[in-house]
Amino acid sequence: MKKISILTFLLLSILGFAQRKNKKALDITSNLEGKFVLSKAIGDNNLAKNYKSFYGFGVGGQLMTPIQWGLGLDYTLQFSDAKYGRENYVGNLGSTKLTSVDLYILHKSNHGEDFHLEKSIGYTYYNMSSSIYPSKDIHTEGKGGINAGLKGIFTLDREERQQFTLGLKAHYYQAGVYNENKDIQKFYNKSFLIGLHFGYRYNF
Amino acid sequence: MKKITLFFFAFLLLLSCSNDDTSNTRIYVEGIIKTSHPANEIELKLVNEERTISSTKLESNGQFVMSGPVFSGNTTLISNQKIKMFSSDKQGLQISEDSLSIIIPSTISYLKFNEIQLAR
Repeated sequence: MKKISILTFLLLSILGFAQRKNKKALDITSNLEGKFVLSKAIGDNNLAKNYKSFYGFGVGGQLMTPIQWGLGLDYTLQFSDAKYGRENYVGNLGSTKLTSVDLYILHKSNHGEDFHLEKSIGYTYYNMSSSIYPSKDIHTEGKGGINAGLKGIFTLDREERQQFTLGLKAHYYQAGVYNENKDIQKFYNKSFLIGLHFGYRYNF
Repeated sequence: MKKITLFFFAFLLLLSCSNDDTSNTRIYVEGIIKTSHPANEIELKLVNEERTISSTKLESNGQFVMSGPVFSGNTTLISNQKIKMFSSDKQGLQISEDSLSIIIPSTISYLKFNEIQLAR
């Protein structure tokens, strides 16, 4: 968690720096976004077969260059639980929280005055923590994986400061767990998540 | 350029985060139980480091699956009825003195019981 706060500090300082725009310097713009997220795991794996859908929220920021390429950083927190009837496959783990930090490169294309399309690819660091009931102890897992996304951006105002976003993002999740049986290890270790997010973005 | 280097620094931090190896083992135990008791009266659990890591009831055909995170040391399969004998695909398993559990050595993370026979 210490590293997440360092990253957040870095993001905020970068955004602060970007705002003090030097007219001669590269015209980099930045934005901040808050969003709601809903994800579903698919495939033959632990998250897809044994867990309910994930719901949560996230915040993110981007740095955009004038050539429509940019860099983004997202922090998302989602919640889930074992599916009813599958608790024996999951174990005594409850109140599951999936934290993801996405770093990505994006390309934006304009389609008319009020609509942009954003395509992105990047890398995500995951931390999935659950409480070991009935105690208050926490069990964590989660490594990293690739992400890719497609997002529609709808401009709400004339100055193009406020926007509504709606996107789909695919995540490759790896838990980093070990089991001597390779099929069982793969079942618990790897998953593929599809997320729907809708948010509000403010451009600086 | 400065901003790009800052971002790469952040990216490297991210990568180093993902290399924190916390050696996360998950145990998976499955099998068939033979008993004269009705299946839904049999309660099984897996215990590791004195914590219940998974629990289940029997299916009507006697099958069961339990899986959970392993913290350290041996894992014990505990039944609410005494265990008479068992046969499995691994060596080194032992029935406890009170006959209510099977001790699974820490080296085993996947275990299939061809059969566990419970006492009447």
